[in-house]
Amino acid sequence: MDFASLLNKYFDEAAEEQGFTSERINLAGYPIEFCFAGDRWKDLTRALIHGPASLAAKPGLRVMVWDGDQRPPRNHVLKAYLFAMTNWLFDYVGPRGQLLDIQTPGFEALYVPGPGILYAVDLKSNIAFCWKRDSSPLPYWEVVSPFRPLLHCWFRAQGLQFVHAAAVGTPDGGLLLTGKGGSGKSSTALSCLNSSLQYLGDDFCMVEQQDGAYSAFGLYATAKLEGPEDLARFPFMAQKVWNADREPGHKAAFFLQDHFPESFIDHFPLKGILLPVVTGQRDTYVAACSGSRAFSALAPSTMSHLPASAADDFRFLSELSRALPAYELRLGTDIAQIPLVLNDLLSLGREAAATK
Amino acid sequence: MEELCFRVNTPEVLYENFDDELVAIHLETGTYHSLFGAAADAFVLLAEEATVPELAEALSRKYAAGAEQISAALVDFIAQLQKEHLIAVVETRKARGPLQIPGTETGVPFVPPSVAAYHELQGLFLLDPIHEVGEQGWPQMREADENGKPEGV
Repeated sequence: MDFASLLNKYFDEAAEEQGFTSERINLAGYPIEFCFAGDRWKDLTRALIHGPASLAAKPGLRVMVWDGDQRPPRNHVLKAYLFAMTNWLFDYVGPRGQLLDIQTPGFEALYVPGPGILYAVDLKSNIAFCWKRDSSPLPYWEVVSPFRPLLHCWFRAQGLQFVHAAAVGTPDGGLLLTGKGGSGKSSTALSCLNSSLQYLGDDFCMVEQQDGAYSAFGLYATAKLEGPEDLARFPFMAQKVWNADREPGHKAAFFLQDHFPESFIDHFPLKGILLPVVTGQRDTYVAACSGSRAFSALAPSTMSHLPASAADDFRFLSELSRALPAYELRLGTDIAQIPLVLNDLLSLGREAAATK
Repeated sequence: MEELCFRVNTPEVLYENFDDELVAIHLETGTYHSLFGAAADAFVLLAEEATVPELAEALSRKYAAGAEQISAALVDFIAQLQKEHLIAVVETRKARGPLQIPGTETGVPFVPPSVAAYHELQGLFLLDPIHEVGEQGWPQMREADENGKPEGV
């Protein structure tokens, strides 16, 4: 019996004892069925964008979600492996969490020790597994962007690339906002919530290339803000914080689809890559920058968040950075200007936006 | 003494060469790097395997400096690349033609090559790049219950 079959059987055992529920949602038009043993983790789908189904037939993914709190697997081989792997982690995993004895071409498997989650994706059968070692609560960053390693592996095989970027725009075109944490991605995206621009994502989204044109697809309907200063800039968000009793240093998290359903868009053609830079000046404006700068902002940051990322991801991000125009978005303190500048960039082009 | 031959440390190292900058990532150290000008050209040549004199000879055809001057500048550069694990020594050389930098540019001002290394994403890239190891080793076994079952399994 292979590892996927052993995990499948373990999930069935858990579901038999704790009950089975499932939820089907569409991400980028692909049907994803989340199956839960028990009801402890079923709210995790709340963070995902619930998009429309695709008119074209697309393959689906089935994701089994459960934890090891109630019982170990009946199979002694799997039980011994999970025992050993979770206790003597570094004998079993690579530097990025890859399960060295388990991964094979077409079967991605990794372990994230912080929350204690094993992710596995069988690309041949389109079945994935998300097993949490215990029932302890997930940290907020896992709650607002759940199943990330697993969805990254599967969507990459479907030709959709995860990017660490926010995205805003209209059905006619949108922009990726990329950069390290604290660069202003979230603030820029949130500044568009009450504007003519729509919101596709705050932290991660997916990009597809077809016939040389790139499109972005929404993934998570959530947002995070760093600290009190950020919250003060967006007073309309203050009452919408999900983790109001968060620990010091943790970001404030929001489930935006609950509060701004009309502001969301699930996909748009991409027109450019923006690198936000906080200037401290009043006005916001854009300035062209090189593709290599966009790549340096996009690739290391994206790949650092995705433990299964490899040469394919690197190449896609390089092609994306070469294909789209890149700009520095020099962010001013007058938040109301930001969506106007982005709108000008999208509708009038760079020269017009730069001279406003 | 035979000159050491070096190669880019693939598959752990990925790189992309743009017109103005070469960007490299080492997947197992979680470090990314920027290389400009002669440094980017030298790195691309290293992908084909090269000794320092071979690199200097190829670079001297594009840059306005003699092979000797370039060779001297490459010693530090090669040491930097080795320190960052971006290159490795080649044990058995493969057959290849003469090294050539793409393009026809000549007389380009020579700036000694160097590599900028960015380590700030290591904590995200790797599970635990730095961890404390106590007397019992790490990670320590979780407490088992009366049936020998560790927490969570």
